[in-house]
Amino acid sequence: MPSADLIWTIVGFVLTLLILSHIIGDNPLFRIVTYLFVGVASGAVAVIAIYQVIWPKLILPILRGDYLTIIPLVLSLLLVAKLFPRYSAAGNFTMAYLVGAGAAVAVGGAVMGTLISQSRALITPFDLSSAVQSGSPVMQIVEGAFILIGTLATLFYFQFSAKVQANQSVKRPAFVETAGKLGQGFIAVTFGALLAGVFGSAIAALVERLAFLLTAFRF
Amino acid sequence: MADIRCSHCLTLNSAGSETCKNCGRPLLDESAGWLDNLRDGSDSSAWSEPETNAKAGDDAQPAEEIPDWLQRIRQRSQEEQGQPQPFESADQAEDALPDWLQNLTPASSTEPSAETEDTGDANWLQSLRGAEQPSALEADAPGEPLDAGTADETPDWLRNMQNWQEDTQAQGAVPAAEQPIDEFAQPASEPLASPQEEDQDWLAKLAAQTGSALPVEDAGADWLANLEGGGESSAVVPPIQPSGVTDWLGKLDEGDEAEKEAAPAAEPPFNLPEETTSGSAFSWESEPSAAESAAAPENESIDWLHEFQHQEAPAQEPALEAQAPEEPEPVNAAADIPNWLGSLATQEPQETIPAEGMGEPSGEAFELPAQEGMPDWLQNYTPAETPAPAEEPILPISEEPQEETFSWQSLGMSAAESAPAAEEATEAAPFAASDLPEWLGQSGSSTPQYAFDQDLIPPAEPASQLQPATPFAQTGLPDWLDESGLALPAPEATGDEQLTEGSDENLEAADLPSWLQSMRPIEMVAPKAVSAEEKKTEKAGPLAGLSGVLPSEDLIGQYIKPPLYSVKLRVSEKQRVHASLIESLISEESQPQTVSAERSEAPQRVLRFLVAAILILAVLLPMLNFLPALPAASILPQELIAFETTLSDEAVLPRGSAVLLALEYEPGLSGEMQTASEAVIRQLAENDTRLTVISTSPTGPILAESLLAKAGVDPAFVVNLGYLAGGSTGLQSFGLAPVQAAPATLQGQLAPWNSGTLAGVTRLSDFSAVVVLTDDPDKGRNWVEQVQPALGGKPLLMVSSAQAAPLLLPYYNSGQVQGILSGITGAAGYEALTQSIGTASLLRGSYQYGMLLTALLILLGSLITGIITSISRSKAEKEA
Repeated sequence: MPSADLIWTIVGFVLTLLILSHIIGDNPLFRIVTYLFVGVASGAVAVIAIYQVIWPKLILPILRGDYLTIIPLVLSLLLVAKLFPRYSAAGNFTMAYLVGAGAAVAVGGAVMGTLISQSRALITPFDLSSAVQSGSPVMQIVEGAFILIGTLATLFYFQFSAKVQANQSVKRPAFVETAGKLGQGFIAVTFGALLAGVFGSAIAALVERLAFLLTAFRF
Repeated sequence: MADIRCSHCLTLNSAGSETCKNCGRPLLDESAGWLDNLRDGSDSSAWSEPETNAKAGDDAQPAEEIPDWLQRIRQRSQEEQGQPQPFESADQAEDALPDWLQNLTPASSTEPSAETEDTGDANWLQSLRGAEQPSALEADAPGEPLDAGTADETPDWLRNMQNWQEDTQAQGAVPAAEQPIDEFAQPASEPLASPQEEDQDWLAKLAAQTGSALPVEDAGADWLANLEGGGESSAVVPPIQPSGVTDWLGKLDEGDEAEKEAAPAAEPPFNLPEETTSGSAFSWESEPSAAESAAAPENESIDWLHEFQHQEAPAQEPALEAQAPEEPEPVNAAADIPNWLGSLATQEPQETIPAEGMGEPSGEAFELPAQEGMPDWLQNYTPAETPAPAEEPILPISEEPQEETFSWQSLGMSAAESAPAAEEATEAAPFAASDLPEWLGQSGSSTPQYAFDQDLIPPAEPASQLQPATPFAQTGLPDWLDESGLALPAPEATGDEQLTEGSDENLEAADLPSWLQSMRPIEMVAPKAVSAEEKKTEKAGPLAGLSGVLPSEDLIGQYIKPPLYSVKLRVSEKQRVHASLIESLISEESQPQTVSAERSEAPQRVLRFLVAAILILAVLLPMLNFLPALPAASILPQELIAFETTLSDEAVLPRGSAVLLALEYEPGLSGEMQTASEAVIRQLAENDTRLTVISTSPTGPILAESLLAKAGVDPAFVVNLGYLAGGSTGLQSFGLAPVQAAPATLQGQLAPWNSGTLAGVTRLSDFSAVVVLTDDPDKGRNWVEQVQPALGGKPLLMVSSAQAAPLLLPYYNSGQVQGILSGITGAAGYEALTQSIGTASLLRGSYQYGMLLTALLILLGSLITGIITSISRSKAEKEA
């Protein structure tokens, strides 16, 4: 093993133990590793931003004669004005452009990439031609119906509108309320699955680190 | 004062000579000069008012006008100077009589009776009142001859006198009765014309004493001449009025001047000083003779005078006091300072004067004024008088008249008029000391006066009405005057109250119209309160006894007791309730509250350590093969299968194809992601796939280097485009134009688009497959939403962490993602599918134990929490 790998393995081993010291509670060793991680990550991000974004995508094009890049350069400089409250208004246009462009991209992608696609995917199980191709059309339809019910129940759960009746408490319609309850169940299962995934990720990290500790010096 | 004229021979003597060079008689320089001035009518420096002097000079009878008989008497007396004879002494006594006494002499000699009151006696008595001559009245008071005389007995000289008076009146003199003050005019004439028989008797007695009748006639003519001259010399009176004369003197003078203008020949008020002057002149002239004839039988007159002096010694004192203003020299020598006059007017009559002034010849008293213009007796009088006010408080004038029942009030005289009368009294004393007839000496006895006074003197009541109080009331009158006054029927009439009552009775109440009454100022109507300051009387110092002199403030009255403020706070009921509420709140805050004991962190730490240890053991034990690995799942997830199928499909990924590898995970989850993706990278590497690495996370390119290195990928087949900025936007741009979106590599070189590793790749659809390594479902979604549409049907595979897989699975179901490999379990399943052994397979047991233990711990924790909650609830229900 190269010496560099050995050094970085030792560093990784020590830092891993320091992180595991959090088992006994918050302690300076844990904080040292945390700060070190944040610092290294920030430095790495700065270097990457300079060498991966500013120089090749902002300065270099101007040097090559692409003067249209001056516009993003100016917008970027105006964005720096946000650091000074007296001149922060100068970066509003840049911020507006970023938010607008990002929102548009997100909305477009969400509608086209998620909403329509998922809606289509919801309908697809009920496609008998496809169900025949799968060999188990009933199960596909049942699965499709289950997904549909789960999807609708979840949407009904987030339905908070209700009619106001005299001398009665505000209460959603019974169907909406029942669908909401059902949707609440689907949400709970989803969150459980997500929590299990989080635990799985954490256990995977622990396993990987313990495996690292076990295999680090196993040459 | 250059020369001194002898009063006997009228010879001018050089100044400073004490005796006359002609007759050898002693000279009275000052008085003689003063008398000379009077006789000459010349202006004297002793008189302060030139006009008056001039007038006096005009009116004064010149010395040449002295009657011949008087000249003869004087010459005879000079001839008989060395041989005093009874007649001579009598003559001298007659000469020595002052005018006022001469006026009195016929009156007294006339012996006025009740019958003669209607004719002459009443007139001359009235003249006495008007002449303000208490001494003269007293001289007349001895009324022994009053009963004897009749008008028929009037001697010739009296008739001559009467004729002379009638001639005078005929010459145009204003009748005395027509004068404003009748009483003043009559005494000059009436006594001369009335009781001639009594005069004759009186003269007979006098002649019997002296042994010669002729001289008596001469003497009677002499004093009648003096009487006449007195009327003439009355014009000299004004010089007596110095500028500094007090008010009462001024009033008297004013009245005298008015009368003098009207009847200069018969003005008794003016006769008073004039007569005194003349009298003094006579006395002054007779003094030497009196002194020389001390052993002569004529000394009986002196005897009775001595007797008079002895009897009336107390009365002479005020007489001398009153004499002071009559002295012209002192008045002038006083340099117009009438203090002594003022003091005489204001001070009580008991001012002491040396008795010598009375007993000794008046000439001695007249010598004194030569010393700085003030006689010794005046000088003696002044210092004796000075301390008097300090010793005795000044009493109101109105309080005095009780002692002076015989005040001039009883005679109907005003205060101003009575002042000269008091002077007359003082003048009579020295004159009486010289030569007075016995009947005059008897005037000192008070007993014979009673009948006379009671008959002649009007009742005191009207007198008191007319004269409330005079300055002379305090000057003191002789005792014989007092005694005579005591005999008056109404001595109480002098009181202020009686005066007021009497005046009130005579006065009618004013009847003011209503409009006039309404116009009266309030100050005049409203009673004026006497302030405390006015009431305050000095008790010490030179102002002792005086009230209201010094302004003073009652300092004690200025200090007011400070108001007392109650310290008790007045609180309403509402405020009291609020205060009690605040008090209760504060008391509650101050009371210690039981703080629940904080749970110790030791059990939690132990629990946490225990859990960690269990997990570590659960993970390590399978690694160390202390625990058998759990059996792998026989049923793999469909998406995993799809993933392996896609990668394994050479139609999709032919050998040497370009695959875009996107690392969208963070360093924290690099262990799982590396484990999960290691098999995939290795498979791709085995297929000589050209890998192009890109990441929207800054740390992605670095992790990619580590991943590729760990997977053993040949870097020649790898292009690390580095960091793609812009998030979803950057992905969209990268999806639309990857060359422009990622122009450079991580090493700073231009991306080898369409060359080398990226040969034939200028768009995303040129990649055979896109494998997204992500632990974040959002990043995975972004790739699906932004890049997947740009892939052109190329497969989008995802290697995700266990936590991101549930959220990315719908995209697999939708067909947007062709396969998903999630976590270590998925990697192990992939390896199982590919029949390779990798790290995931090795760690799968640990991971499974860890996941199992975690699930158990979650269940155990949930169970314990449920039990504790149920217990607490049951306790709460039981407690409730």
